[in-house]
Amino acid sequence: MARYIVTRIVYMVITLFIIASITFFLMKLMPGTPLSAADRLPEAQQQIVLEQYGLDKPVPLQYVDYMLGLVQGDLGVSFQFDNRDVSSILENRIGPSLQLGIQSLIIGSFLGAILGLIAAIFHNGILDFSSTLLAVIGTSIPSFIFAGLLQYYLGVQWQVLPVATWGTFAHTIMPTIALLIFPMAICARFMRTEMLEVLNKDYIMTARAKGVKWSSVILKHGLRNALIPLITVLGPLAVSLLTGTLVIEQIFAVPGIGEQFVTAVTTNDYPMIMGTTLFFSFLFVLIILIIDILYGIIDPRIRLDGGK
Amino acid sequence: MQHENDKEKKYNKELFSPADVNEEETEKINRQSRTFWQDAFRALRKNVAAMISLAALVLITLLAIFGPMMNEYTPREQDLSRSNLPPKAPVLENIGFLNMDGQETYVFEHISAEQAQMNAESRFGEGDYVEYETLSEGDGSVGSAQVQASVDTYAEAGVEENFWFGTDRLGRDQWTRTWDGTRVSLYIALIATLLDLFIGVAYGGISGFFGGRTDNILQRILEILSGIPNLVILILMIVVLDPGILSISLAIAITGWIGMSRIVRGEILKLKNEEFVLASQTLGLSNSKVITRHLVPNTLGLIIINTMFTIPNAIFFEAFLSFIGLGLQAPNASLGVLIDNGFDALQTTPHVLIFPAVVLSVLMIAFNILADGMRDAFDPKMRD
Repeated sequence: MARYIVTRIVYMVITLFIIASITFFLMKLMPGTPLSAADRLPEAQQQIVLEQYGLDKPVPLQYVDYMLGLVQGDLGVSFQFDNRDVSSILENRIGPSLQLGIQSLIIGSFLGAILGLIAAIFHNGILDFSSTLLAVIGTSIPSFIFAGLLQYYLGVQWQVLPVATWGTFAHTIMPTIALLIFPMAICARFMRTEMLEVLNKDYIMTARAKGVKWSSVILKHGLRNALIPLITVLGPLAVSLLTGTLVIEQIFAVPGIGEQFVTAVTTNDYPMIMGTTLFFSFLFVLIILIIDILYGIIDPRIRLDGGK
Repeated sequence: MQHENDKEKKYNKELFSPADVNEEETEKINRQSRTFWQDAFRALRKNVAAMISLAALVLITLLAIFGPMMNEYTPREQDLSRSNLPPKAPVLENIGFLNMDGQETYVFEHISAEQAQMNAESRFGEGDYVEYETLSEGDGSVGSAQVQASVDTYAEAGVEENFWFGTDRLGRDQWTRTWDGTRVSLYIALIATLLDLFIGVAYGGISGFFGGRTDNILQRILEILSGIPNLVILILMIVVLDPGILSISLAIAITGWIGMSRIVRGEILKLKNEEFVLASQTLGLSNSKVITRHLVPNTLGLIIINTMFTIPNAIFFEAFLSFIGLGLQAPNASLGVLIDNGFDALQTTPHVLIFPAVVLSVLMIAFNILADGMRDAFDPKMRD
């Protein structure tokens, strides 16, 4: 187990190193200078600005500087926001993103599991049909369309919730709902299949034959076994939420990392793009690692160091 | 014993004669045997939801191909004199709830009916195209009096022709733009499918078939590639190239096929130790023939299922990127761009949002349901 984790972490570091290098050199390949009004600035002044950001050195040296900075957690200085560290900007902005992500992942998977459970218990009934339909719609319709509908009806027409921006808990409700629909639908679908499979197992029949109440068969024997594989989908779902926050934060004007990222790309703020890219990649790799380890702990049948 | 004796009395031996057994007759298979594919397609045809989805997809594809040719407007043609017209279509205008008659109603509020009427008239003026109706006289408090103005927007703008999906802020025909945008989605779907089929299947196939060191190297590369979120790759593509179809296609080309290659590799690993493959190898069949004749046909079901799930993901990816402004750029239409435009004017002209949003949703739902149906039909383990 320990060996497995170490191997995985080594891979994680290699992956991040490669991403960092690719991002760095791609940024250097960009035509033109990062100065937005280069042609209007006098030569000497351009030189000063380039020196200030360390852009006058040869590229390999810049690369070494950047990598050394990275190891120390320094992601460079943003071009867009005067002299502010990328890492401090990210630090300020991670709160809202994290809150939205965690809220929607927890509520979404919880609701999804319940929906799937209901569908499996009433297999082939009307409840099964409607929850399956809900799951198909939830996985198919993009979250930004849901977000638009929510914003239009709850925010503009009925005015029950604030239309956008950030502040109170009420502000988080609509973005959370828009974000949680996808994880909810996926969990419902997954839970239904798993539960149906578990309910067909011999031990369920044994429990029934012993005269255990139907409700406790479902909860103690069925649900517990069906929940284990659900953890495998949580990883990819958490990753998909990363993408989701980009749009949702944009629509609801949430001051989170996703919104910052889109702004950075549209304003060519390279250090910011690189920093956010690395941050996203780091989260992505970390989430997958955690889920894999968690899965191994919960289900002893999974051999982590076996061929994968 | 007593019982058996009774039987013997009733049915004695002479009553029986050997039946005429014809080996050929009894062993004959009465119906034509069906292959796996015939079986699968039969199961798929019986799936009503999947068939409806297929019909919807065919319809959308046809509209995407022929839709923009069905009227004389082009996707980029602007005309401010006909901006923000609501949808109007010949037959559908008589169906009330569809709201496709080109009529708009506005409610003006003020302290008294006269004041509200004045506000309304200063907005729309006098003419045949507008009718005013006082909803409530009001009691002098703010917003208590209401006057409703029913406007025939087409007559007001002096437009003779019909815009089936209405027009946007710049007077562009939404019908043409919606179907033009659908073409982009379908193009992305096609690209993703081809890459899945060629790169994904080849990579997974080679990795699984040759195993050993080749497999090891290919899998390590994959591990690193899959550690990079595809969004990040795309952003980098955009920064280096320009945002647009090319950068989206490239991003899909770099990461889109990873899932497929994993599935194919797993299946090939399983298959290559089966007796029929070992037998054909022992009989001297070349590697390429073993792959094309035995391994690929046996993984084809899985490949098809997986491709079907890739398509909606790719369509979503493009729409999502265009929506946040990192995909296709302004004068070009894609469903994501159109939906983004629709959001800007959601309160005044919701029709700009509704049509592309509905087309995108139907496209996604139909592909997902069809993919589900195909999985049920092509995967023997999924059949009931």
